[in-house]
Amino acid sequence: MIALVAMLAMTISANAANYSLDESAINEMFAEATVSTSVESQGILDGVDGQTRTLIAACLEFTGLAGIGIHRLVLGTEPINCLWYFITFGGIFYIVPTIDFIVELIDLLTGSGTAYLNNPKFIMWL
Amino acid sequence: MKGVILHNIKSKDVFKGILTCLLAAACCVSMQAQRLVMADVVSQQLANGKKSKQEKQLFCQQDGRMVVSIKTTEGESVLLTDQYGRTEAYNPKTNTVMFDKKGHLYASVDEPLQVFLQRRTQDMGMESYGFKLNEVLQEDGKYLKKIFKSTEAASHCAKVEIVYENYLPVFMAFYDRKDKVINKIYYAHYDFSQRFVFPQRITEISYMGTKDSMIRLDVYSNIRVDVYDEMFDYKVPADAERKEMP
Repeated sequence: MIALVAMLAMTISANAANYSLDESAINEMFAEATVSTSVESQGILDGVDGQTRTLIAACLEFTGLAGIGIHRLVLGTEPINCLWYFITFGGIFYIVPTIDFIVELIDLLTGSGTAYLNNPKFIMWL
Repeated sequence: MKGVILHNIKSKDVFKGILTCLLAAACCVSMQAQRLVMADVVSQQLANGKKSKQEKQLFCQQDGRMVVSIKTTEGESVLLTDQYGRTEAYNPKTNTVMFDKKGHLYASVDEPLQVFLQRRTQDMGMESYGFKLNEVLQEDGKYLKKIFKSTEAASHCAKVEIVYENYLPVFMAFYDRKDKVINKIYYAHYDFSQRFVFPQRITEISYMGTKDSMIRLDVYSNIRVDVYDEMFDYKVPADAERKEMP
Protein backbone atom coordinates (compact mmCIF):
# COMPACT_ATOMS: atom_id res chain seq x y z
CA MET A 1 0.00 0.00 0.00
CA ILE A 2 2.83 2.36 0.94
CA ALA A 3 4.63 1.52 -2.32
CA LEU A 4 1.46 2.26 -4.29
CA VAL A 5 1.02 5.60 -2.54
CA ALA A 6 4.67 6.46 -3.16
CA MET A 7 4.35 5.55 -6.84
CA LEU A 8 1.22 7.62 -7.22
CA ALA A 9 2.88 10.48 -5.35
CA MET A 10 5.74 10.39 -7.84
CA THR A 11 3.22 10.46 -10.68
CA ILE A 12 1.61 13.48 -9.10
CA SER A 13 4.92 15.27 -8.60
CA ALA A 14 6.02 14.53 -12.19
CA ASN A 15 3.24 16.78 -13.42
CA ALA A 16 4.05 19.56 -10.96
CA ALA A 17 6.10 21.42 -13.52
CA ASN A 18 2.98 21.65 -15.66
CA TYR A 19 1.02 22.85 -12.63
CA SER A 20 -1.64 20.22 -13.13
CA LEU A 21 -2.43 16.97 -11.44
CA ASP A 22 -3.14 13.49 -12.69
CA GLU A 23 -6.74 13.54 -11.56
CA SER A 24 -7.37 9.89 -12.32
CA ALA A 25 -4.50 8.97 -9.98
CA ILE A 26 -5.99 11.10 -7.22
CA ASN A 27 -9.45 9.61 -7.76
CA GLU A 28 -7.93 6.14 -7.63
CA MET A 29 -6.21 6.89 -4.33
CA PHE A 30 -9.46 8.03 -2.80
CA ALA A 31 -11.34 5.05 -4.19
CA GLU A 32 -8.84 2.59 -2.72
CA ALA A 33 -8.65 4.24 0.69
CA THR A 34 -10.70 2.89 3.55
CA VAL A 35 -13.18 5.11 5.29
CA SER A 36 -11.93 6.53 8.56
CA THR A 37 -14.34 5.91 11.41
CA SER A 38 -14.49 7.28 14.90
CA VAL A 39 -12.81 4.79 17.20
CA GLU A 40 -14.82 5.96 20.18
CA SER A 41 -18.15 5.62 18.42
CA GLN A 42 -17.45 1.95 17.80
CA GLY A 43 -17.10 1.45 21.52
CA ILE A 44 -13.64 -0.06 21.10
CA LEU A 45 -12.28 2.00 23.96
CA ASP A 46 -15.12 1.30 26.35
CA GLY A 47 -13.58 0.24 29.62
CA VAL A 48 -10.03 1.12 28.54
CA ASP A 49 -8.12 3.03 31.20
CA GLY A 50 -7.01 6.62 30.67
CA GLN A 51 -3.28 5.96 30.35
CA THR A 52 -3.85 3.43 27.58
CA ARG A 53 -6.12 5.84 25.75
CA THR A 54 -3.43 8.53 25.92
CA LEU A 55 -0.88 6.03 24.59
CA ILE A 56 -3.20 5.05 21.73
CA ALA A 57 -3.81 8.72 20.92
CA ALA A 58 -0.06 9.39 20.81
CA CYS A 59 0.44 6.43 18.47
CA LEU A 60 -2.36 7.67 16.21
CA GLU A 61 -0.35 10.85 15.67
CA PHE A 62 2.03 8.82 13.49
CA THR A 63 -0.73 7.61 11.22
CA GLY A 64 -1.65 11.00 9.82
CA LEU A 65 -5.15 10.73 11.26
CA ALA A 66 -4.19 13.44 13.71
CA GLY A 67 -4.89 15.90 10.93
CA ILE A 68 -8.59 15.21 11.30
CA GLY A 69 -8.53 15.04 15.10
CA ILE A 70 -9.07 11.29 15.50
CA HIS A 71 -6.56 11.23 18.38
CA ARG A 72 -8.75 13.74 20.22
CA LEU A 73 -11.78 11.49 19.89
CA VAL A 74 -9.75 8.70 21.48
CA LEU A 75 -8.91 11.00 24.39
CA GLY A 76 -12.50 12.18 24.57
CA THR A 77 -13.57 15.56 23.32
CA GLU A 78 -16.37 17.45 21.59
CA PRO A 79 -16.83 15.94 18.10
CA ILE A 80 -16.89 19.45 16.62
CA ASN A 81 -13.17 19.71 17.39
CA CYS A 82 -12.62 17.25 14.53
CA LEU A 83 -14.28 19.83 12.30
CA TRP A 84 -11.84 22.47 13.49
CA TYR A 85 -8.90 20.15 12.72
CA PHE A 86 -10.41 19.49 9.29
CA ILE A 87 -11.12 23.05 8.20
CA THR A 88 -7.83 24.43 9.54
CA PHE A 89 -5.93 22.08 7.22
CA GLY A 90 -4.99 19.49 9.81
CA GLY A 91 -5.07 21.61 12.92
CA ILE A 92 -3.48 24.83 11.64
CA PHE A 93 -1.19 23.09 9.16
CA TYR A 94 -0.42 20.23 11.58
CA ILE A 95 1.02 22.51 14.26
CA VAL A 96 -1.67 21.63 16.82
CA PRO A 97 -1.37 17.81 16.35
CA THR A 98 2.41 18.06 16.64
CA ILE A 99 2.18 19.85 19.96
CA ASP A 100 -0.63 17.49 21.02
CA PHE A 101 1.78 14.58 20.56
CA ILE A 102 4.54 16.26 22.58
CA VAL A 103 2.29 17.07 25.53
CA GLU A 104 0.77 13.57 25.46
CA LEU A 105 4.26 12.08 25.59
CA ILE A 106 5.29 14.35 28.47
CA ASP A 107 2.11 13.43 30.34
CA LEU A 108 2.76 9.71 29.87
CA LEU A 109 6.38 9.97 30.97
CA THR A 110 6.11 12.39 33.86
CA GLY A 111 2.48 12.53 34.84
CA SER A 112 -0.54 10.33 35.26
CA GLY A 113 -1.15 9.97 31.54
CA THR A 114 -4.70 11.22 32.00
CA ALA A 115 -4.24 14.99 31.92
CA TYR A 116 -5.82 15.47 28.52
CA LEU A 117 -8.75 13.07 28.77
CA ASN A 118 -12.22 14.43 27.99
CA ASN A 119 -10.89 17.91 27.24
CA PRO A 120 -13.53 19.85 25.29
CA LYS A 121 -11.15 22.51 23.99
CA PHE A 122 -9.78 22.57 20.44
CA ILE A 123 -6.33 23.37 21.80
CA MET A 124 -6.22 21.03 24.76
CA TRP A 125 -2.90 22.20 26.16
CA LEU A 126 -3.95 25.82 26.63
CA MET B 1 -45.60 83.38 -27.26
CA LYS B 2 -41.98 82.51 -27.91
CA GLY B 3 -41.35 82.89 -24.25
CA VAL B 4 -44.12 80.38 -23.44
CA ILE B 5 -42.75 77.83 -25.96
CA LEU B 6 -39.21 78.20 -24.60
CA HIS B 7 -40.54 77.71 -21.05
CA ASN B 8 -42.34 74.47 -22.06
CA ILE B 9 -39.28 73.05 -23.85
CA LYS B 10 -37.07 73.87 -20.90
CA SER B 11 -39.42 72.08 -18.50
CA LYS B 12 -39.47 68.95 -20.66
CA ASP B 13 -35.70 68.97 -20.97
CA VAL B 14 -35.32 69.34 -17.26
CA PHE B 15 -37.73 66.49 -16.67
CA LYS B 16 -35.88 64.25 -19.13
CA GLY B 17 -32.59 65.18 -17.56
CA ILE B 18 -33.82 64.26 -14.09
CA LEU B 19 -35.27 61.00 -15.37
CA THR B 20 -31.99 60.14 -17.10
CA CYS B 21 -30.02 60.84 -13.92
CA LEU B 22 -32.36 58.66 -11.88
CA LEU B 23 -32.03 55.79 -14.33
CA ALA B 24 -28.25 56.14 -14.36
CA ALA B 25 -28.17 56.13 -10.57
CA ALA B 26 -30.38 53.04 -10.48
CA CYS B 27 -28.01 51.28 -12.88
CA CYS B 28 -25.01 52.14 -10.72
CA VAL B 29 -26.74 50.82 -7.61
CA SER B 30 -27.73 47.57 -9.30
CA MET B 31 -24.19 47.03 -10.60
CA GLN B 32 -22.87 47.31 -7.06
CA ALA B 33 -25.71 45.28 -5.57
CA GLN B 34 -24.82 42.49 -3.18
CA ARG B 35 -23.54 39.44 -5.07
CA LEU B 36 -24.55 36.08 -3.72
CA VAL B 37 -23.02 32.72 -4.55
CA MET B 38 -24.01 29.34 -3.21
CA ALA B 39 -22.56 25.94 -3.98
CA ASP B 40 -22.60 22.32 -2.92
CA VAL B 41 -19.22 20.98 -1.90
CA VAL B 42 -17.99 17.45 -1.33
CA SER B 43 -14.77 17.65 0.65
CA GLN B 44 -12.61 14.59 1.09
CA GLN B 45 -9.39 14.12 3.01
CA LEU B 46 -6.94 11.28 2.57
CA ALA B 47 -4.11 10.45 4.92
CA ASN B 48 -2.19 7.20 5.24
CA GLY B 49 -4.73 5.20 3.31
CA LYS B 50 -7.69 6.46 5.36
CA LYS B 51 -10.24 8.88 4.01
CA SER B 52 -12.96 11.05 5.44
CA LYS B 53 -15.73 12.83 3.62
CA GLN B 54 -17.81 15.88 4.35
CA GLU B 55 -20.72 17.31 2.43
CA LYS B 56 -21.54 20.95 2.85
CA GLN B 57 -23.35 23.86 1.30
CA LEU B 58 -21.73 27.27 1.11
CA PHE B 59 -23.58 30.54 1.04
CA CYS B 60 -21.19 33.42 0.33
CA GLN B 61 -21.89 37.12 0.14
CA GLN B 62 -19.60 39.67 -1.41
CA ASP B 63 -19.33 41.62 1.86
CA GLY B 64 -17.48 38.65 3.35
CA ARG B 65 -20.30 37.02 5.28
CA MET B 66 -20.44 33.26 4.79
CA VAL B 67 -22.74 30.53 6.03
CA VAL B 68 -21.69 26.89 5.78
CA SER B 69 -24.20 24.11 6.29
CA ILE B 70 -22.34 20.89 7.09
CA LYS B 71 -23.85 17.43 7.10
CA THR B 72 -22.29 15.17 9.71
CA THR B 73 -23.12 11.72 11.01
CA GLU B 74 -24.75 13.40 13.98
CA GLY B 75 -26.94 15.65 11.87
CA GLU B 76 -26.35 19.13 10.53
CA SER B 77 -24.08 21.88 11.82
CA VAL B 78 -24.06 25.47 10.69
CA LEU B 79 -20.93 27.61 10.58
CA LEU B 80 -21.18 31.37 10.29
CA THR B 81 -18.18 33.56 9.71
CA ASP B 82 -17.06 36.80 8.15
CA GLN B 83 -13.87 38.15 6.61
CA TYR B 84 -12.50 39.04 10.06
CA GLY B 85 -12.86 35.47 11.30
CA ARG B 86 -15.64 36.11 13.78
CA THR B 87 -16.91 32.56 13.66
CA GLU B 88 -19.86 30.76 15.20
CA ALA B 89 -20.40 27.01 14.94
CA TYR B 90 -23.99 26.08 15.76
CA ASN B 91 -25.34 22.61 16.46
CA PRO B 92 -29.14 22.68 16.02
CA LYS B 93 -29.49 19.27 17.69
CA THR B 94 -28.06 20.43 21.01
CA ASN B 95 -28.88 24.12 20.47
CA THR B 96 -25.31 25.07 21.35
CA VAL B 97 -23.04 27.50 19.59
CA MET B 98 -19.26 27.73 19.87
CA PHE B 99 -17.90 31.10 18.90
CA ASP B 100 -14.49 32.54 18.13
CA LYS B 101 -14.36 36.30 18.47
CA LYS B 102 -10.61 36.61 17.97
CA GLY B 103 -10.70 35.35 14.41
CA HIS B 104 -7.75 33.02 14.83
CA LEU B 105 -9.32 29.87 13.50
CA TYR B 106 -11.31 30.41 10.35
CA ALA B 107 -12.45 33.35 8.23
CA SER B 108 -14.50 33.56 5.08
CA VAL B 109 -11.42 34.72 3.18
CA ASP B 110 -9.98 31.24 3.77
CA GLU B 111 -12.69 29.80 1.51
CA PRO B 112 -11.77 29.82 -2.22
CA LEU B 113 -15.37 30.52 -3.25
CA GLN B 114 -15.23 33.74 -1.24
CA VAL B 115 -11.83 34.69 -2.67
CA PHE B 116 -13.15 34.42 -6.21
CA LEU B 117 -16.42 36.17 -5.34
CA GLN B 118 -14.50 39.12 -3.93
CA ARG B 119 -12.26 39.12 -7.03
CA ARG B 120 -9.10 38.68 -4.98
CA THR B 121 -7.47 36.31 -7.46
CA GLN B 122 -4.65 38.78 -8.12
CA ASP B 123 -3.08 37.61 -4.86
CA MET B 124 -5.58 34.94 -3.68
CA GLY B 125 -5.90 36.89 -0.45
CA MET B 126 -2.21 36.53 0.41
CA GLU B 127 -1.74 40.21 1.18
CA SER B 128 -4.30 39.96 3.96
CA TYR B 129 -2.12 37.19 5.47
CA GLY B 130 0.93 39.45 5.54
CA PHE B 131 2.52 38.51 2.22
CA LYS B 132 3.89 41.02 -0.25
CA LEU B 133 4.42 40.59 -3.97
CA ASN B 134 8.13 40.09 -4.55
CA GLU B 135 8.51 38.96 -8.16
CA VAL B 136 6.51 38.28 -11.32
CA LEU B 137 7.81 35.79 -13.89
CA GLN B 138 6.65 34.38 -17.19
CA GLU B 139 7.10 30.67 -17.82
CA ASP B 140 6.95 28.91 -21.17
CA GLY B 141 5.06 31.87 -22.58
CA LYS B 142 1.97 30.33 -21.06
CA TYR B 143 2.15 30.73 -17.31
CA LEU B 144 2.47 33.81 -15.17
CA LYS B 145 4.06 33.18 -11.79
CA LYS B 146 3.78 35.58 -8.87
CA ILE B 147 6.03 35.13 -5.86
CA PHE B 148 4.97 36.52 -2.51
CA LYS B 149 7.23 36.78 0.51
CA SER B 150 6.07 36.92 4.10
CA THR B 151 6.52 40.20 5.96
CA GLU B 152 6.18 38.50 9.34
CA ALA B 153 9.44 37.11 10.73
CA ALA B 154 7.66 34.55 12.93
CA SER B 155 5.53 33.14 10.12
CA HIS B 156 6.14 29.46 9.42
CA CYS B 157 5.33 30.01 5.75
CA ALA B 158 7.97 32.24 4.19
CA LYS B 159 7.02 32.21 0.51
CA VAL B 160 3.96 31.65 -1.66
CA GLU B 161 3.94 31.08 -5.41
CA ILE B 162 0.80 31.56 -7.47
CA VAL B 163 0.77 30.39 -11.07
CA TYR B 164 -1.78 31.72 -13.56
CA GLU B 165 -2.83 30.36 -16.91
CA ASN B 166 -4.95 32.71 -19.03
CA TYR B 167 -5.09 35.00 -15.98
CA LEU B 168 -6.75 32.30 -13.88
CA PRO B 169 -4.95 30.75 -10.89
CA VAL B 170 -4.12 27.09 -11.54
CA PHE B 171 -1.51 26.39 -8.88
CA MET B 172 -0.30 27.62 -5.50
CA ALA B 173 2.69 26.48 -3.50
CA PHE B 174 3.64 27.37 0.06
CA TYR B 175 7.26 27.16 1.27
CA ASP B 176 8.76 27.23 4.74
CA ARG B 177 11.81 29.22 5.83
CA LYS B 178 14.09 26.48 4.51
CA ASP B 179 12.46 26.80 1.08
CA LYS B 180 10.86 23.40 1.52
CA VAL B 181 7.40 23.02 0.07
CA ILE B 182 4.75 22.53 2.74
CA ASN B 183 1.58 22.81 0.71
CA LYS B 184 0.45 22.68 -2.91
CA ILE B 185 -2.99 23.59 -4.26
CA TYR B 186 -4.22 22.81 -7.77
CA TYR B 187 -7.23 24.60 -9.28
CA ALA B 188 -8.99 22.90 -12.21
CA HIS B 189 -12.29 22.52 -14.07
CA TYR B 190 -13.06 26.20 -14.34
CA ASP B 191 -16.75 26.90 -14.96
CA PHE B 192 -17.33 29.69 -17.48
CA SER B 193 -21.06 29.18 -17.94
CA GLN B 194 -22.14 31.90 -15.52
CA ARG B 195 -21.00 35.42 -14.73
CA PHE B 196 -18.92 33.88 -11.96
CA VAL B 197 -15.74 32.06 -13.00
CA PHE B 198 -14.63 29.49 -10.47
CA PRO B 199 -12.59 26.25 -10.39
CA GLN B 200 -14.88 23.38 -9.50
CA ARG B 201 -12.09 21.04 -8.43
CA ILE B 202 -9.48 22.08 -5.89
CA THR B 203 -6.84 19.61 -4.75
CA GLU B 204 -4.56 20.37 -1.87
CA ILE B 205 -1.53 18.32 -0.92
CA SER B 206 -0.06 19.00 2.49
CA TYR B 207 3.48 17.79 3.24
CA MET B 208 3.41 18.60 6.93
CA GLY B 209 2.56 15.11 8.10
CA THR B 210 5.06 13.03 10.06
CA LYS B 211 5.12 10.11 7.64
CA ASP B 212 2.71 10.67 4.79
CA SER B 213 1.32 13.63 2.94
CA MET B 214 -2.31 14.55 3.33
CA ILE B 215 -4.53 15.13 0.30
CA ARG B 216 -7.69 17.17 0.40
CA LEU B 217 -10.06 17.23 -2.55
CA ASP B 218 -12.92 19.73 -2.78
CA VAL B 219 -15.40 19.31 -5.62
CA TYR B 220 -17.90 22.10 -6.11
CA SER B 221 -21.20 21.69 -7.91
CA ASN B 222 -24.59 23.29 -8.34
CA ILE B 223 -23.07 26.78 -8.22
CA ARG B 224 -25.79 29.42 -8.29
CA VAL B 225 -25.08 33.12 -8.62
CA ASP B 226 -27.34 35.88 -7.31
CA VAL B 227 -30.06 33.41 -6.41
CA TYR B 228 -31.46 34.16 -2.98
CA ASP B 229 -31.81 31.48 -0.32
CA GLU B 230 -32.91 32.03 3.26
CA MET B 231 -29.66 30.46 4.43
CA PHE B 232 -27.85 33.65 3.41
CA ASP B 233 -29.59 35.37 6.30
CA TYR B 234 -29.19 32.49 8.74
CA LYS B 235 -28.98 33.56 12.38
CA VAL B 236 -28.17 31.51 15.43
CA PRO B 237 -31.22 31.28 17.72
CA ALA B 238 -31.03 33.73 20.58
CA ASP B 239 -31.65 31.00 23.16
CA ALA B 240 -28.72 28.84 22.00
CA GLU B 241 -26.19 27.95 24.70
CA ARG B 242 -23.00 29.85 23.99
CA LYS B 243 -19.49 28.49 24.54
CA GLU B 244 -16.36 30.39 23.62
CA MET B 245 -13.58 28.72 21.67
CA PRO B 246 -10.22 28.73 23.54
